[in-house]
Amino acid sequence: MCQVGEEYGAPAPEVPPPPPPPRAGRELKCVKCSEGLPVVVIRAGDAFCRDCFKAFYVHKFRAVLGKNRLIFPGEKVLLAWSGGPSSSSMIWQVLEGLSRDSAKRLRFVPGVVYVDEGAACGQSPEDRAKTLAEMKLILQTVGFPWHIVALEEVFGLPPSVLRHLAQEPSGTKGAYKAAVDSFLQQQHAPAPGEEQLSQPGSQDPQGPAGLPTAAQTEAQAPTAAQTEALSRLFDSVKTLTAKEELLQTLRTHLILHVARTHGYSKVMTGDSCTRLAIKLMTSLALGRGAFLAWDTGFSDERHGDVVVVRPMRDHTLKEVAFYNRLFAVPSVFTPAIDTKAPEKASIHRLMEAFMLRLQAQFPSTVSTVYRTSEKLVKAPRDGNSGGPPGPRCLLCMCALDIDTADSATAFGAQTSHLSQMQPPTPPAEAPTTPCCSAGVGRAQGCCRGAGPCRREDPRASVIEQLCYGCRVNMKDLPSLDPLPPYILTEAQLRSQRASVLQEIQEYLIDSDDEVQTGES
Amino acid sequence: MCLAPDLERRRTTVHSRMLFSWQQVHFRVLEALILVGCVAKTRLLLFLRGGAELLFDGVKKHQVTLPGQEEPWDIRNLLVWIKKNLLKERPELFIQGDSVRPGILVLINDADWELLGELDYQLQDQDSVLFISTLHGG
Repeated sequence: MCQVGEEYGAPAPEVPPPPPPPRAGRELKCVKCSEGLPVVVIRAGDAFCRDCFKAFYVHKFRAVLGKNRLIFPGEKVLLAWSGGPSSSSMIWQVLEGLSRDSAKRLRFVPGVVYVDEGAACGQSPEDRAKTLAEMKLILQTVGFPWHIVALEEVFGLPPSVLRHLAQEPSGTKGAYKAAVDSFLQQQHAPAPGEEQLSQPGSQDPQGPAGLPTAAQTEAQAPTAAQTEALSRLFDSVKTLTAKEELLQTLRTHLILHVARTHGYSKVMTGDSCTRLAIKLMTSLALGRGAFLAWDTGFSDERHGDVVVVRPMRDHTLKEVAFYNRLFAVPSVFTPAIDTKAPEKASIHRLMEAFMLRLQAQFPSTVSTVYRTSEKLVKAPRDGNSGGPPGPRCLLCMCALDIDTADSATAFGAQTSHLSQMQPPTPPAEAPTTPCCSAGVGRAQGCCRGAGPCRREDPRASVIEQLCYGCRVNMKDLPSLDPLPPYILTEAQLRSQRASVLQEIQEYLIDSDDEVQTGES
Repeated sequence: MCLAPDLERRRTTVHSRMLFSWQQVHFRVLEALILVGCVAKTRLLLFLRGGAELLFDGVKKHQVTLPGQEEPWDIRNLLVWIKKNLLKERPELFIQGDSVRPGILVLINDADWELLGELDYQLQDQDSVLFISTLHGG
């Protein structure tokens, strides 16, 4: 079995490792063209020369986009850029793909978003300003409309971010082909005033002069109060694992908000093959096994109207790093929340170390895990197929995987335990129709179980709306107060709605002939 | 054998001042010593990218001269030397056992080190070795 040089339990008998395959020396030629001098080894033993490597890399990018025909011509796509190598490489591929001539050109309209996470990582304002300046320099070189947002803006997000907005189905393959054909026809016969349509590459001129100023948005610098609130939130989280998950959640919400505000229907993230393999294993460890297909697949439609797409999922980190080095793709290094953290600081770090070390000894590890993720299917839960969509997790917006019937007893145990800990205090913003109002005086109906009224225990009402993985994360957050207000507002709204629905359940006419009961 | 320009200059100036035979002998001995000295030293350019520079005080480019020794310098020895002389903190984030930590790529003269023998590659004068950490971000 796999032993990576560390013994656990009884040490294995000393077996010398199998001799490594003979290294392809510089005297060997590129495996593809058989003439160039190889510069990089991909997979196990395939040496490519510089030009073949570039062709291979670009081809993979186009193939992933072409195979999953999700991005329609003329669609607005938001590229999520973190400054790191994979997302920078993705932006560069899009830039090159748009500027090609004729039929092989990419056909969507890109924009770039950068989220400044300096406050969560504890960076000083001077460092953040310096990083921002470097980012802007690169963004201006690239030339797409860009949006720079600070993570502090999560405190200003509306609760609608957490809602799944349904979208009409994108159609069959026939619809894609038809859309491409009509787009091409439009191009070949431009109207007199629209000559520039035939070269969309030139529609993105360098610098802000050619683009409408509304297309480049940079929010005002976040106020000190917001930065303070964000630092307080991240400081209150006890473990690094939960911090990383929370950061990811907030970042996703923020990018989603930017996409919805500016009319983007797709978001491209630069997750590479290695990162997705690590993410798959980490998600399993975090209790998110039910959502692997959405977390690591090519497309992620959990938000409804905005689809998250991962075009770099075929490229390993090694290929990305080599491409960036050989072809001078600019990227900026920013320290993240787990920089210089020891190996066992969080589940993510541990899994990363595990996978990379295994990969060093068994070079097909990452690709095997990746291929497994390709086979995962997004099937609806058994009870819900064909029926109305079930409730969604408040934070990660995946369909809830916890059976409410099962957790009623668990919930009751939780609330009684929590109520003993904290005396119930009415929330500052009292709901307009408190669920225990005298008008609907039902002994058993207003609150589930015999526990105290739900509105007096906001933590339990938020927790019960989360999926299992998010609940486990929330355990490391001792108090929900530092959370951004949109989360708490939406949680309250949903729980109110659920309780009201439960109250009037008996009055609703069901389709399967339940007799409408009389009034109380 | 052609020497570096500064040594060449030194050689000709010494030469022009020479008058007596014992000074010639003296010079030959000196020249031999200088020759041995510059062959034994290996000058390298070390680059650090992708976050690896954080472990080296943020300095991305290092021009190093490795001291002369009998056996030629290879990457294995270079890593030991780096750990002793250049690494400022957290050696376990850069070096693991004999080799670099998995996730750190090594490029020698812009080519993958797997093509050149990995740890056994023998360093030449004026080689450039680049360490890219892929463990950061996307």
